[in-house]
Amino acid sequence: MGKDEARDAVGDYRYGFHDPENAVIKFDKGISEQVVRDISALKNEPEWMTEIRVKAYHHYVERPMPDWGNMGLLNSIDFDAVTYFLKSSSGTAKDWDDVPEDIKNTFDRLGIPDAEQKWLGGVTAQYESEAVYHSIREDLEKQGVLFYDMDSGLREHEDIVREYFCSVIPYSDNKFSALNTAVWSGGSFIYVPKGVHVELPVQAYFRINSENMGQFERTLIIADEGSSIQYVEGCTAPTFSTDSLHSAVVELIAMKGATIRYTTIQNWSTNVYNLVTKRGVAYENATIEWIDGNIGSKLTMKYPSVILRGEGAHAEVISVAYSGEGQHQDAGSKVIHLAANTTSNVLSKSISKNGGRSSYRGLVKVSPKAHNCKINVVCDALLLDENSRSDTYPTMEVANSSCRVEHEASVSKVSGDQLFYLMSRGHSEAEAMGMIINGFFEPFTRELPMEYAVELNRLLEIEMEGAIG
Amino acid sequence: MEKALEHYRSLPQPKRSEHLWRYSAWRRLHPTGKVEEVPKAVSAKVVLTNLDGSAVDSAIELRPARGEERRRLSATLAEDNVAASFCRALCGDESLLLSIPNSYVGEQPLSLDITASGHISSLYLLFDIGTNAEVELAISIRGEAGWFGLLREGNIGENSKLTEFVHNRLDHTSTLLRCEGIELQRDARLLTATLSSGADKSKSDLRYSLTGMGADLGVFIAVHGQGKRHDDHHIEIEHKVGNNRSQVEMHAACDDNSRSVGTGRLLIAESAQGADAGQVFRNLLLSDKAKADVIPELEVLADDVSANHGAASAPLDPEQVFYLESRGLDKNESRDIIVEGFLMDAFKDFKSPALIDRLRTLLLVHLDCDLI
Repeated sequence: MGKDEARDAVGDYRYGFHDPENAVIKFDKGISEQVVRDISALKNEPEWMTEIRVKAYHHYVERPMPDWGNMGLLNSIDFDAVTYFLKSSSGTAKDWDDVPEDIKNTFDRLGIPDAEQKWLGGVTAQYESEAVYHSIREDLEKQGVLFYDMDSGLREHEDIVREYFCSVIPYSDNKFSALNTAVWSGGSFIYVPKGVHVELPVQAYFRINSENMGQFERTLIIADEGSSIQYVEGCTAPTFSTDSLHSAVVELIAMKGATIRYTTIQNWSTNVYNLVTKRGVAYENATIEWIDGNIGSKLTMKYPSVILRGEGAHAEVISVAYSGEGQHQDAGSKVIHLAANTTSNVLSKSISKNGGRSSYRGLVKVSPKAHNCKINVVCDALLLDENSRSDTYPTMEVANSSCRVEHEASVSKVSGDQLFYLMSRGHSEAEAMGMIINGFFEPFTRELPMEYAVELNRLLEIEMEGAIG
Repeated sequence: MEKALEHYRSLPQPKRSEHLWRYSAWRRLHPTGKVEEVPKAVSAKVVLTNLDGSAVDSAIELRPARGEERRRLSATLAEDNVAASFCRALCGDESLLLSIPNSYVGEQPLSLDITASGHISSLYLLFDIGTNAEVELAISIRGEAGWFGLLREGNIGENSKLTEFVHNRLDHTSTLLRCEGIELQRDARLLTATLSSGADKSKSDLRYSLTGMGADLGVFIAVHGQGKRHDDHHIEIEHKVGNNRSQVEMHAACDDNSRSVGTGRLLIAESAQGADAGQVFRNLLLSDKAKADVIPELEVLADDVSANHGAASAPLDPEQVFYLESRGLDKNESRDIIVEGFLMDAFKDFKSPALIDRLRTLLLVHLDCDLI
């Protein structure tokens, strides 16, 4: 869509377009009801979606900033300096050759579409506000699996989106979910029909490229009865932006007996605010797994949640966080047990170095009807120098006498004995430290697809350079 | 008096998002429910004797505290602590000081008997333990006051040891607000045990500051919830310097419609290298309607430390009940034995045989058990 066409689409609005090197459409900085309506009009959305966006916008304006967490960093976000919509490509390409050259080069460096051909069931690549490339394997398409970028999903399957959109995370959930609902753009929409098992993971790549850019993707995954899917979300490319904002909302719905595994490796540059709301609902005997790695960003506030609504449902959350200089990884998880015989396992590991700060913030809630549920939460933190910090804020609310809840957490430094042992076997101190760190994160990396595990280990090695001396 | 009143009224009211007030709103704990009000209170009656009832050594003083002493001994509770400020305003100029001289070594434990009566009652108790002293203390809080506010602040001098227990056995119709701020100097040791079984609404805000190297703190709490009892303990420990140790062990057995809340906050300052800190919260849920909430927080700013916490909630183990029943006990007796064992286990590191015996007796009497 050209600039003139875009103008026609959104009507006579006050926001002029900028035309940087690769922007097809770029809104002026700041947010208002008009910006929200303009985004919706530009995407030619149905009226109900525009209404939700506008309601969410008003809620966002009225809702105060959270009065907990790293309020110093949170309050330093200048929401008026953020660009809420930027389109870099005229459309979503289905063929890699149709992606604009400069964007293609970026994603080529990430190994796409190489990886897609080898081990992925489908790929969405999002650049700034919208998807620039999207594909799905033919066999999955034939089995009825719907995999779209969210904008296309809304166009092609409005009935499904309308039924589930905001059903797990209402716009009024928190200030940032309201912001996302108001200005969302891009993300993934997936529907897996009954009994279909998507063996190969599907993947989304997200990239922010511009200064003061806001990326607000929206992802909705519905796994129908007895189906399964693994979704991998990669933000492994370092970005070149300053003070950008990433505020996504991810909703998962796992119907009876379904399994969803959602894997994230977040490696934003260290001036991106990453304020994300992720939540899933698991019905009878369903499983939701969040595998969550946080390496980058200036401030991450992300607590992947699972509501165990059906009997026998299971939640698994494995998260790791690395905090370097100037970073605060405020991550954790929430599990709400609403039904009997539900189980959950939470494993959180964090490393703080060079003045970085890691926080685990978690909630386990057991309702009075959740008989015989079992919960296990383990948090381990390593502090690599005296300037770093680690916090643990777990909350456990138990209102059923038949359930068993276990929680343990520890904060320590790398054991001198372990270092000494490895060094006595001929390793340098840096190598020994690297091995211990990789071992510390091993419960996480073993759950990743091989290519990601290798990439993560490499990333950690780069981050750990200079950890000794 | 006026100054304390003004200060309390100038403080912002606590929000539910603060963990300290998340489960026990200040408005509900306040004696009248109107948080800006500071009603008149009757001073609680305090009697100090040896544990066997005899008179205490003449070196030990229990007397009204002077202004300078109040200022010196009230450094641990922050100015913006709403509950402590309220208690200060409520007590006005009245406060008692328990003073233990340097190098005093008690031959037998002291007993401090606090009786709260009237509609609203209060007590501001300060204590000052000199250097190289050793003292054991049994504190009993009883009476039928509708509402009782206890503010306790003090200092444990270098190389001194205080071993104490506090038994909350107020009438079940009472509400208890207990605020404590205690500072431990170099090589000081405080072992403090609490048996909380009285007052249907009970909120304790216990804060300890380890300001000296080599300080050693053990906080042991056993809570028994029955009926509609709501018991909320907040334990906050700050390691300001290194090479010291703290331990928290809280066990709560919740029956009927009762609810236990345990929130812990462990702060290890950047300068506190070599600190060793641990918190354990365990809950035993005895009925379908009982609730237990736990928030054990860690904030660690030093790297060469050992900090950990653990929390667990579980029902009665049927195998344990079955074992005891197979030895001829009925279901209720088996249950009482398990509850008693679970609660006494909170005191396993409380190193005072005389006080442990007293605690066990008090617990068994409370459980109305025939096993004494």
